[in-house]
Amino acid sequence: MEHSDEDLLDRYKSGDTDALTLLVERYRRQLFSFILRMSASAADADEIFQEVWLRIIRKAGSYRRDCFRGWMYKIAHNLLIDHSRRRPMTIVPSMPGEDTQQGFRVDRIPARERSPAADAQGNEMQAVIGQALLKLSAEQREVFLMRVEGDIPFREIARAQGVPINTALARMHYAVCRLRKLLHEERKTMEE
Amino acid sequence: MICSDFEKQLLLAESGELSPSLQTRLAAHLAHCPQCRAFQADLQELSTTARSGLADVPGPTRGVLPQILIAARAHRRQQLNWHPRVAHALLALAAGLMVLAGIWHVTSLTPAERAPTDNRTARIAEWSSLLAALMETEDPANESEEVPRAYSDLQSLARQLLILQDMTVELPEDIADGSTPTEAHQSTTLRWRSNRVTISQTYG
Ligand SMILES: [Zn+2]
Repeated sequence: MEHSDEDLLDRYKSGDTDALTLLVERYRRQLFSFILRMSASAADADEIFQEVWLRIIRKAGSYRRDCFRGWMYKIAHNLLIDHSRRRPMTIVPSMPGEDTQQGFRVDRIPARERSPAADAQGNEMQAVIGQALLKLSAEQREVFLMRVEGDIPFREIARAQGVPINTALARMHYAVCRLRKLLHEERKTMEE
Repeated sequence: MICSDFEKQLLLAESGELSPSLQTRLAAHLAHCPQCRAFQADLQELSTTARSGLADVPGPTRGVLPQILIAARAHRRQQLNWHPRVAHALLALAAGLMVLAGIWHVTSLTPAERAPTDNRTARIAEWSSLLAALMETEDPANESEEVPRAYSDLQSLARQLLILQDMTVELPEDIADGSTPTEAHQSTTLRWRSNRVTISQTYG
């Protein structure tokens, strides 16, 4: 039987380092993919990924919540924001109508540098989605990735972003509408 | 309610956060609304495609996971509380060790290959875990202003050391060609970015 995240964290807190290994392994791809798609480069992603776990290790003792995944993504979210503030970035103005309430600047750099994950994807549709994600605002992309790849409930996403649940929901809705449109356009091109 | 409200409810239903009564109302709407059914189908396809793409994501660079585990073990070991002043002294020591570690590391390697398990690498690993333990110490909030600053320096040094095994070290020419640093070097600066460290010297 597979242990829950919370069980593994409890085991780690009582001295079992192997339990942490299992947790890191469980979220290796998922968390790294998230950080990679939200940050400037693979090197930044390595650094942030490592920092997320160092913070989990440091804070495990005082962790009292019921959703480890939500907590882990919240930490990643905070570190991504810290990181974007520390590092000078090329700033591209937001598109009109874009949701910039909490804009972080991680995504405002040329797309070529941002998407090693998308480049590596063999599947054409995955590549289309990967590229389309880059056209969303950072907040919308973040909600989409947390929800779809991370399987985080909206309640926890809202908590991570520090916004009301309706804001998180609206961001996801916008993201899905935008991605659908791009998907349909792509399908049309492929049919022609 | 208009269709976009139902679409948001669809999102909530998909994440298991829609109440049973609202689910019933949503089902009734879906039964006679082709637009919302199309939204549902596309959402499904987007989710499936994005999730299946995860299998192709490369994990973090080799070396990152072992560092996390070193830190985790060090954290377990470190149940003793470091006194701020001890940490302060160790900070200075760590800075010295780091420079030496960087120099030894870089001079021991040919550009083409690195010996993964030589003594120097092992010692760097030891320092890494020592500093990982230090990094876990709480900020002494009640101390004078200087101490927390030393702590933050310490933390950043520790972070640098933690990834030292996997990094490229750039040295000024006179050090890279094998000479050791002398007292003529007034200060040593380490610039760190991810897997690259630049060491520069100021001369007195
Ligand atoms: Zn409808």
